[in-house]
Amino acid sequence: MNLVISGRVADFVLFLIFCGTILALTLQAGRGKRFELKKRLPALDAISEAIGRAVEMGRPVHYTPGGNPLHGVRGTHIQMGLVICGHVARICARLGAKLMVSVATAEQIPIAEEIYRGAFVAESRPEVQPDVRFYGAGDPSFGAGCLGTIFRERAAVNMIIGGSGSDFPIVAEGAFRAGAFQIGGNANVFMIPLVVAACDYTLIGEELFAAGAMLSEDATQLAGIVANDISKVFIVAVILLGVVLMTAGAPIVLQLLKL
Amino acid sequence: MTTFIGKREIPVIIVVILSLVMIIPFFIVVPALNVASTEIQRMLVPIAGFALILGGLNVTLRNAMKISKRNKGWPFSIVLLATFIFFLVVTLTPGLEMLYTTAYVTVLGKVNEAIMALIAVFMATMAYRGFKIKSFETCLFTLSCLIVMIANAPIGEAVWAGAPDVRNWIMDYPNMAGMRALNIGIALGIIAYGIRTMLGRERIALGDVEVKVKKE
Repeated sequence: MNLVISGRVADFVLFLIFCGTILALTLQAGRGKRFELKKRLPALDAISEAIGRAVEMGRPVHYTPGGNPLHGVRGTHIQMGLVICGHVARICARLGAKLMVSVATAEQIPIAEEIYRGAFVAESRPEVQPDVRFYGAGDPSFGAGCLGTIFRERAAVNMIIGGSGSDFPIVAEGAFRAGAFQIGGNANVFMIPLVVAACDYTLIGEELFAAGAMLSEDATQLAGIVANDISKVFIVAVILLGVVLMTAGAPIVLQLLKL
Repeated sequence: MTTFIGKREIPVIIVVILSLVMIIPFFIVVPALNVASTEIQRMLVPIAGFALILGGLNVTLRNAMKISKRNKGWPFSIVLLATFIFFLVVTLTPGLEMLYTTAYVTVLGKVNEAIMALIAVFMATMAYRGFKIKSFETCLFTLSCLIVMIANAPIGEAVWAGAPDVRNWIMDYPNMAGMRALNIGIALGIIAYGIRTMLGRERIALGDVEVKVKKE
């Protein structure tokens, strides 16, 4: 009997390589090695600029991690949205901006409130009560709720970073019509074109997952981004090797990947 | 014992154990772990139920406080609580299925459909902004979008017979390549996020919000 499930041998080996790379670099970072990123994501720098603009205008900032639930594949997108929400809340607390956070599912309420409260306490503003708004799990209700908040409160900035489905066009286009500066983030490949069309700054695909690490500036988290880049170089090399060998009539790479 | 396992380590240990129990059976044949993995997935349902109760209580308390203090928008809280209680009662009371169906399908369903209809308008206005040609790249983007739209429209083939072939090529090659590149990046990002959480480095995911933010 095979130890590894048939058809998943190549997946398993690749998974071990990627995990090994991330772990090795994380351990190096833990021992004191510094990893410098050559390029910073423009959307991350735009967050503080946008919040500063909202403070100057005397209008609030609206943030939502999106309308998807906290579980499942898209749950990781929501989790990243909540991670970035912590950073946004701290910048709001420091600059004195009013922050409104909209969530779609009930289980996100205590998490978002805790993140909100913790960020304001960390910036010595414990008197600020978390302004977390619940609009229900369902794209129409969530989209309409966010849209109403943005229009009623005249939000100067709208950030929709996390996991969104069909609620995204409602919220983003509504916020555009309200004149809000927009920062969008999404890792759903079908929503990415809409994010690019609607938002001033974007975090698309893996940028969403790298953003939390970049904002923290924690050495071990930055090591994960470097490890991801190394893994991508490895994948591109395997693809090129496969193309060359396939063209030469030797489908070795294809056969190995099917193991 | 408490010296080594503190408040912060306990969630990390739980995350590591549960993650390994879920990941290992995906690749390796270990019958005991397969059973454990299935059981954990079954346990998620009641756990999610408890989270729902917590969330429901939170919503009720917050809105009740808002009404009692007459905070801004308190009448909306009355509507929310009334709807919440109404649906809770008609769902849990036997014999009220008809009332539930009527309220859900004929009221909520229609309101949802009306909101979703907004998407058609918003998609068109977003596409209009997206199609503005400002550079060579946006020119390529607009051209490819136009070809795909013409080919997808019922009249498309009558306008240009070659449109479906060009559309198929765009969707099967450049579009597919871009989507695969994005998916590879996303998958690696999720793996890295998972490992960061398992190592206890993703502090917000573990309920610790004392994160560093670069001083402006």
